[in-house]
Amino acid sequence: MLTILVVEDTPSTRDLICNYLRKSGYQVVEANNGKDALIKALNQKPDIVVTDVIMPEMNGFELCRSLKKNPVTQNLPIVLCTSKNQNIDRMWGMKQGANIYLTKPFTEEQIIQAVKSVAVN
Amino acid sequence: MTQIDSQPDQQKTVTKNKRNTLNTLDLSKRAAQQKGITIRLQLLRTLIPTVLISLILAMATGYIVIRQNSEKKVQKELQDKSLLTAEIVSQLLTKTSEITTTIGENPYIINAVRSGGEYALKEKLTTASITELEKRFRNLKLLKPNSDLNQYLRAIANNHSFLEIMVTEKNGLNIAYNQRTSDFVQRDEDWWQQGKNQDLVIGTPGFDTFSNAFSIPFTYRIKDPKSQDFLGIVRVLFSVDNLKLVEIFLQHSGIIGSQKIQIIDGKTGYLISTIDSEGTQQDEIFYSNKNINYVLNTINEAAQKRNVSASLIKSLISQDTKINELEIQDVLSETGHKILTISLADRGRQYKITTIPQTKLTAIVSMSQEEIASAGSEFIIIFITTAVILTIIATILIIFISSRITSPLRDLSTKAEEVAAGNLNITATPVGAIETKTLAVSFNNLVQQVKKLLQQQETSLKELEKSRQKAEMLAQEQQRKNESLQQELVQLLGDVEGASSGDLTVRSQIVEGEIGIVADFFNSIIESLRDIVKQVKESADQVDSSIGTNKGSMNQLAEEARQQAEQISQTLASIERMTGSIQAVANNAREAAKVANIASDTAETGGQSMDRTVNSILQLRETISETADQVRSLGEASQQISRVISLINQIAMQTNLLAINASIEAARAGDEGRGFAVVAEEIGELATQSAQATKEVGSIITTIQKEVAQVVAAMEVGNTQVGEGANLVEQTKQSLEQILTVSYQIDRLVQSISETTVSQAETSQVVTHLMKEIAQVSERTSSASEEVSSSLDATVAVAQKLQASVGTFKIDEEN
Repeated sequence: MLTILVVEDTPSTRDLICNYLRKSGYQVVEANNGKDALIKALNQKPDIVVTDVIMPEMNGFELCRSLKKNPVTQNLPIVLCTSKNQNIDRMWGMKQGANIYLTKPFTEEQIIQAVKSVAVN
Repeated sequence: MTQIDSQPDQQKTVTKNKRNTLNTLDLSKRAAQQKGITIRLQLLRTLIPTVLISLILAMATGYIVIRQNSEKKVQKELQDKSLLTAEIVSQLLTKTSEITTTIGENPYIINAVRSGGEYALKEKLTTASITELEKRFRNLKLLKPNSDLNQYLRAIANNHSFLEIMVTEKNGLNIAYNQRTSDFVQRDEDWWQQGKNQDLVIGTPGFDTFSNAFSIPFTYRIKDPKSQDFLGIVRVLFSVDNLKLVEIFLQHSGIIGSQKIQIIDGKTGYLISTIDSEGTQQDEIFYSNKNINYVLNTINEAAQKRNVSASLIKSLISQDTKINELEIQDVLSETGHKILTISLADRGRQYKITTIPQTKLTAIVSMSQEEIASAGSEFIIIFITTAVILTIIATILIIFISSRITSPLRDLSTKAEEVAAGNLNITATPVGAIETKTLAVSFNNLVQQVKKLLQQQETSLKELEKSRQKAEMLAQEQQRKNESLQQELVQLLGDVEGASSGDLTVRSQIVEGEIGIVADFFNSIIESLRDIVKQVKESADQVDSSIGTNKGSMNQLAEEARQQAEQISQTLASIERMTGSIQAVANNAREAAKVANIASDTAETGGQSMDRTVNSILQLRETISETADQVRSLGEASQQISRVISLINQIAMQTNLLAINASIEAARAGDEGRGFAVVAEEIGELATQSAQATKEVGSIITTIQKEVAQVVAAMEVGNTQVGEGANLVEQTKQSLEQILTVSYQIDRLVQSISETTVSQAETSQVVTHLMKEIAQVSERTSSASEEVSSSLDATVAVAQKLQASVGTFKIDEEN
């Protein structure tokens, strides 16, 4: 069973994502912001990270960079899930090390598909 | 144009756009008005000068051509007259020559001359002197007067106006004449001598005093028709007056203006005849123009040589005088003779000179150059008049044509002015030439086009208004966007402001707008900066600490290097001293070798002296033993002497006995024996003395024997001593030989010492050199280590500076 770290500052959205993933049989670890997520990524050793971008303390892009900088977490697949929907945002996100860039609003299918595709790789 | 200015009210009524168009039109019209040139004026200005210039050019060319032709014609005329004169004179002279020849070939004349010659021979006149002959024939001055012949000659002379005809036989005596001559004998005359040698001679013209006239002499050599022997001479004097025939001929061809025809003897310069427009003149006897005389002389001189070409004569004349326009040509006359024609200009006159064949005469025709030049000048008036008339005609034609061209144009321009004033309902009627018709049609089209364009402009203005409103809305939206963007930017700047003062812990918040990415880009830069600063800090610390440890060892190294250098320099000094000692040893060894050499030499000489001593001793020994032998033999001899002495002693004693006996006997014999007794006594005494002497000799011999014995003993002692001496000398010699060997050994030793010290000295020099190099190296090492030490100091300073600079950056220790 794969463990997925879900990073989202808005509790309602976080709950929604967690529910979708649990329903599909994934174990979920929750984090409130980037800093929190970085600590948990080291301690809990998740298999996939699903993160929002706009967050206090440490945003999603910085989280990506931090994960890629650390040798322990640099191969962790990342799914960015954000309301920033312009081409420049997508390009920047992919450049920071994200495997999939998902724009809000998204459907359950979309997120599960995204997680599955990175899990296979 | 004035129409527009006078209609300002109409102008006010037109629309704004139309007014703009009108303003441009108005401007262009004003520009045209400023230039103020009508087509007519333009045509006049351009065409009249063109016509006039071409006319003037054509006329000038024509005039020049005509003038040149006239001049050529006059020149040709002069040339022809010159040739004609020459030809006539030539004909006259030829005719005279023919008459002279006819007389000379007349059989009567030949017979008369032949018989005259025979008569003269018979009468022995050939040898008589001239004065004698003149005296004898002074009456008639004829050899054999023959009135028929004289009559014949007189008739010919009268017919041909000859001044004189005479015939002489072969000795120059007159045979016949037309009138009585001044001399009877002609052989002393030049013409006679000349005529004797040539068949026909045309002589030099001259003044004949006998006939009191200018004449040209002709002579003919009479010869036997069969044997061609010389028989006599015919002489004819041709009067120059006969040349008046020339005047008659030329008067018909016309002598005009300043033309002058002259016949001159080229050799002497005699002016034979002058003909001008007023008839024959005889002003001067000699021709006075020096240049012409010079030319004639040159030609005559040249003519005496054969095959003279015109170009050669030309070059001769050109070299010497300044004669203008000189031209010389060879021409063949009608009689087939070669003649020269010369053309030249001198002192304002044009000369045409023609030589007369077979003579030295020349015909000269001259004319004033001004007169030649003025030929054809009358044409200029005709040309000017023509030019004026043509100009007037051209002007009238231009005015007519221009008015025909410009009237439809003026009409069209009036119409165009109305259109420009705003009246677009005007149409022009196509009239006049094709160009003006086309212009009118195009003008109408243009007015229609302008109308259409104005309508289109109005519709497009409305569309423009609509799009303007749209653009305004867009601009407002853009402004709003700009404002939000500015706000985001302000927030971003506020977030990252701390970074500029070194705080790298700052972090910008990502927002929804486009700035969000920029903000995160800042974040990523600051993160990288943070990492870099951290690394720099660590590195600077490492550098600082490691340099601190290095510095101690570097200092020690420098100190040691310095000590090493000092020690090396001390060693160097010791080695140098050692080198000095080695050198001293080498010197001493050299000295010792010298001493040893001297010692060995001395020992050698000592050995040689010893040898000589031993030899002397041996010789001495022999001498001593020889002496001993002799002394011994001396002792033996002395014993023999003592035996002889004892014999002598016995003899003395017997003698004494005898003497006693004799005295006894003498004493018996008495007195007579007394003398005998004395002798006996004396003998006795002598015997006693002898005994005594023998006793003395015996004692002496004994002494001698004793002494000899002593000498022998001494000799023996000496002999043993000599033997000992010889032994001693032998021993000494051996010792000396030993010394020699030792000194040789010493020499060898010293030599090897010397060699060794030399190589030692070299080695020590090499060592010194090496030590010096080592000293330099160690000095360099010392200074290098000092430099390294000081650069380490500098590095420490730099590292500390770096630490201080990096210290200004604030980074989160957790990261």
